[in-house]
Amino acid sequence: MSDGMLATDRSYAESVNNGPLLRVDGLSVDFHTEDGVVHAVSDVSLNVHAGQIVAVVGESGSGKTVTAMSVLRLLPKSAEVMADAIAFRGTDLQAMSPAELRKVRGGPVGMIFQDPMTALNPVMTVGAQVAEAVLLHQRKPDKKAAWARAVELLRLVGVPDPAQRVKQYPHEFSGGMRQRAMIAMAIANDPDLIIADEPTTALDVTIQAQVLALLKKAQAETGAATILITHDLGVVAELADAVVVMYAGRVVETGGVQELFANPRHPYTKGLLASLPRMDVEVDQLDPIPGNPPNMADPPAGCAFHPRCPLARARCETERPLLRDVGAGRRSACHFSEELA
Amino acid sequence: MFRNRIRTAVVGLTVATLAVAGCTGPSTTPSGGSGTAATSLNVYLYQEPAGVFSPLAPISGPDGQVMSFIYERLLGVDPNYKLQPRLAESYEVSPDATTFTFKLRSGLKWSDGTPFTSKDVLFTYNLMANPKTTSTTAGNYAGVAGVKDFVDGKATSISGFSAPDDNTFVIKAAKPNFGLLALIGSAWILPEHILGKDAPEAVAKNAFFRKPTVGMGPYTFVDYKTNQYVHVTANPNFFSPAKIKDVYLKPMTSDNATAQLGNGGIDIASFSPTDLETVAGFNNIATQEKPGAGFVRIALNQAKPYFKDVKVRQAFLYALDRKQIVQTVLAGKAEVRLSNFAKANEPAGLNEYAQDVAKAKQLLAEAGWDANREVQLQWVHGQRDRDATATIVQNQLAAVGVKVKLVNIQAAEIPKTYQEKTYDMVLYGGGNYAVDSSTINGITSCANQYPAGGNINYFCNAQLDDLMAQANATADEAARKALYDQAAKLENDQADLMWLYSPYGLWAVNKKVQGFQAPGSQDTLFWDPASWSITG
Amino acid sequence: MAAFLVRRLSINVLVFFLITIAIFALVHKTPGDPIAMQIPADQLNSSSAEFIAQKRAELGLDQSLPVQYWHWLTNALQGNLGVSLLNGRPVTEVLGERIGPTVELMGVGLLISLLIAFPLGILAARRRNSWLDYGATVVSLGSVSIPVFFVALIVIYVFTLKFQWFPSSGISDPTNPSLLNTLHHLVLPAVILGFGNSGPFMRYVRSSMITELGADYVRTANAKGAPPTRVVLRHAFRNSLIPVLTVIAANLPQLLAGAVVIEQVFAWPGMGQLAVSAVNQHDYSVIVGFALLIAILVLVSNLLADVLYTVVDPRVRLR
Repeated sequence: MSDGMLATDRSYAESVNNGPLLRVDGLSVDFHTEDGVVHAVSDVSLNVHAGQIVAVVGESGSGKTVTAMSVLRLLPKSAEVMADAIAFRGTDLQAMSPAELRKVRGGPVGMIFQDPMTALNPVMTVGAQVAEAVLLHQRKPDKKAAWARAVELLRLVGVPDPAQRVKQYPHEFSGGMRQRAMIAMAIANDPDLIIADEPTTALDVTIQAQVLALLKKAQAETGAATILITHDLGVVAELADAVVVMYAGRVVETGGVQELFANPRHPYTKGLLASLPRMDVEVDQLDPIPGNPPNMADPPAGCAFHPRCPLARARCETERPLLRDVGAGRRSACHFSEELA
Repeated sequence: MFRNRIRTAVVGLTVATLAVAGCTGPSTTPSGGSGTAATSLNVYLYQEPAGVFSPLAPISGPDGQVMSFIYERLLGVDPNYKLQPRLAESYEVSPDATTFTFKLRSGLKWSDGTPFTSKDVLFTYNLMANPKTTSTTAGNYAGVAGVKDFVDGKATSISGFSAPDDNTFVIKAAKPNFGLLALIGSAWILPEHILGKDAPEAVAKNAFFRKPTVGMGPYTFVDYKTNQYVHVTANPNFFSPAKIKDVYLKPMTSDNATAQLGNGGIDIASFSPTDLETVAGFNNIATQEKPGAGFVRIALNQAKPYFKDVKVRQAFLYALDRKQIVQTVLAGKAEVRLSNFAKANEPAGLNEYAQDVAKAKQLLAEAGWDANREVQLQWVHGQRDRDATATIVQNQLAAVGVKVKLVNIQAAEIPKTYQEKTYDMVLYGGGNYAVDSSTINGITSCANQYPAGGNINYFCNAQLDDLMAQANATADEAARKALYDQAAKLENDQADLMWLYSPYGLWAVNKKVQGFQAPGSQDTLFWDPASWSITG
Repeated sequence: MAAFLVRRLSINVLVFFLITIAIFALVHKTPGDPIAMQIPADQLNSSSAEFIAQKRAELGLDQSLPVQYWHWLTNALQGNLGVSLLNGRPVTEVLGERIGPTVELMGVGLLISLLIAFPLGILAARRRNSWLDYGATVVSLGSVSIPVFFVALIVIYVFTLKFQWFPSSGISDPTNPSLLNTLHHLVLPAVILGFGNSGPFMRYVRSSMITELGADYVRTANAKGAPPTRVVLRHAFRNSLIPVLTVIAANLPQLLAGAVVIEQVFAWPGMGQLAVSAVNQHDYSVIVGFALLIAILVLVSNLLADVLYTVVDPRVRLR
């Protein structure tokens, strides 16, 4: 399968379905715990178009990982997933049988996880695991071909001496190489969509840059769309086309990356950007957002951000702002987003 | 890859155990056995045999039972404890009870075809009497003339044994000793042509005794698969050939044996009174019971001053309700004993010592029994009836003011307590004094006090010894009976032992087996297996 | 690996020596004279004392304990474990002819216990807190709490008496020797032994599986589109084996203990029966020989557990 054909496939698909590659509408996820129900995600919608890189940004507990996991139904049994639509290439993923969903997982949709040490099976060779990704989606299982492809994939992702490495175990790989292997698994079957959950968070900074470069390369060569979950705005700036900002389980702002960085329309996004350390400006102190992320078992009334918001007013304590268009493909969930324009 | 390793390991484990299984079962088809039910018999052994089937080895019940199939002797003991001629056709005792002449059956052959003659008998008796062979029963032959000189080295052979011709064997006693007949007349005869070349010290170790394939008995030894079965097959040379071809003697737990009686795995088995109901309920099983010779008893250590007084010993007997003990502990399947003499040999009119609590208390008071004294009753734990009996005895003695402490002891520790005379009361069983009452001397005479003999309770009564000696010194039946009756009355009065009860031998026999005569207990030798047959 | 083995083995040998000293001393110090007890009280006669003394001298029992131990040790190192006090047979021979049936029983019993424990444990872990899980817990508790001999007696009553499907004793029928017949006799004792040991194993498997099923790599496997069976067996199970296998190896002596009881009940001609009667009759040499075997078994099984660990877990491979 050459990349050229893929691109045609995609635009064809899109033109036929006349819509985005992935459409998530009104997604809510509740966790039933011993202490009660936790509304991890409430009414989240996002679209990803073919070839687009969408970054989902937020603090820990904002619901970004849960959102991503719910696409492929990878959440534990205690999670209750409700959505108006989760559609991939026009087909509703929620309605699929487990067998049909398994064809999507690891095939047209590939996933990259956060901690490659635990995300890889310690008693299987790396080669076996990468080959497994291929084998699971072969029409006729061919072990030899799968292993050959595994070697090729490892070479593709920049693992040195892949023919030897393929027989090694994950604990014999360095952190960066393990993540490369994970990426190899994700792109093994030329996916249309890659979901990457904090792919560089567990790596040290020097390796981060390499892996990010790899992600960029993989995306460029396969033409896959990417959902990039991260809390690191630097990564967002490097890779993303569009940004979705989440707070307390809800989307609070969306927009193209350039515009959003230049002109945030939500106090949370503004606060995030302001708190970034910068090389070009001299500051005496960092400027973090005051306060703590909300307790998702008992979130604040009204706007969930109001306890920490510089623009907070009485209205914010009682009325939750809805996500609304604020012009030029931008949306924001703040009563006073005009003040930030 | 890893999974393959696990799979290989599992397969390897299975294959290995199957291979071992294939090797540990019988490896060859037993010769001559077509394996049909009518030609083979399965008999229960109550314990695993030691595997040394030798009259020179320490006495072992199951080994003895096996030997009763493959060996034969001059005189056998039938289930009524009467001597019966076996290899001897007839025998004579001189009137002064010093000479015993045996006429052997003529024309007999060993199972390997060698002719049987008095040479084999002479050889066997010389061996048995020779202490160098390390036989535990050599002491029984001390009464034979010339043994002392032989042991002391003054003679090279024992003058008391002689074989004037091929069919005659003569034993001479050192002094009149009628009981010698019962004591040594039933020794298993060994083949001189196989064992005769060994020096006496070495005979006992001869490998022959592990696989004694040559014998005079109704069956010949084939194989002993340790702890599985002993296989014997009919001996065509026996003077009255056996009707059942193969017999398998199998050791197992009694629960297992009872189950096997029900499903046909075992044809003949002894059982305990607690299984009576189960066994009686099997359609294919008939039961037999036979009073035993051995009796459960309590010995009072008369080396201790407080047991020396006969009143104390009598009081202890009066305190017990032995009829009730038999009913409770053995469901009535035993008989109460009144003396060391076998019931059949006892005179009428002995003191029954029926329970009389008042009398017991009175006797104890007269003897000056210290009510605060605590005496210990020791016994080897493990047999249901004895365990229960010990507790009942404790209670019944407590009711007359005697404090008894129950102590479990290991069999191996007992000899020391005898040696050092440290025990108070010991409960045990066994013993067979039914064939000839003179054997009672072994446990009552002053000369036989432990360790010289079996008188472990250090009883001593010169008058009793005298009566017993007189009775043993004559071959006159009437005279003997009169003297033994007197002895029995004296012994009964002296209460040398607390005689409790003789359990019945309880045997279950598959209805298809004819001719089986139950012996008196589970460890007694089998009688005349050649006469058993299978119908249908 | 070789250096590791050598080091472990030398420690084991040292421990082994200490064990032999302890066992020897303890066994010989137990009160009671095994020779004297061979003659029942009512069969004592004038030659008995001499017989006992002679036998004791012959067997070296009249020497001091350290001397006896030294003789025993020097003989043992040459492969001679002495003779049985009861019937004079060499201890190695006596043990040798019994070890086969016991190994057979233990082997098949182990197999059966694993065949019960693994599937039940895996199923229970997958369907936590379901009726299946509770049922499996009840079964495993039962296997641990109900005494083996009790189960054995009931099984004998039901399966060999009421329905005469199986033989109730022995290793085979002497009139019908064949592999099939031996297996027929093996079924009941091995099943009971296996069942009795399966409880703890099942619990280990279950808890190990629960841990592994919650691991990140399981999520990765699911994300790759692997079907549930593959995820459970090829991914989670393989990891769960690591602690489980070592536990099983270390539990082998437990299996032997169970086998001893079963052998008594089923008249299975293995070492268990030998041990019981040797202890009852104070047959020193056999007891020491038997205890030695157990010591070897324990040491070997622990060594095996350690070796297995390195084999099964690639992270712990020794270079």
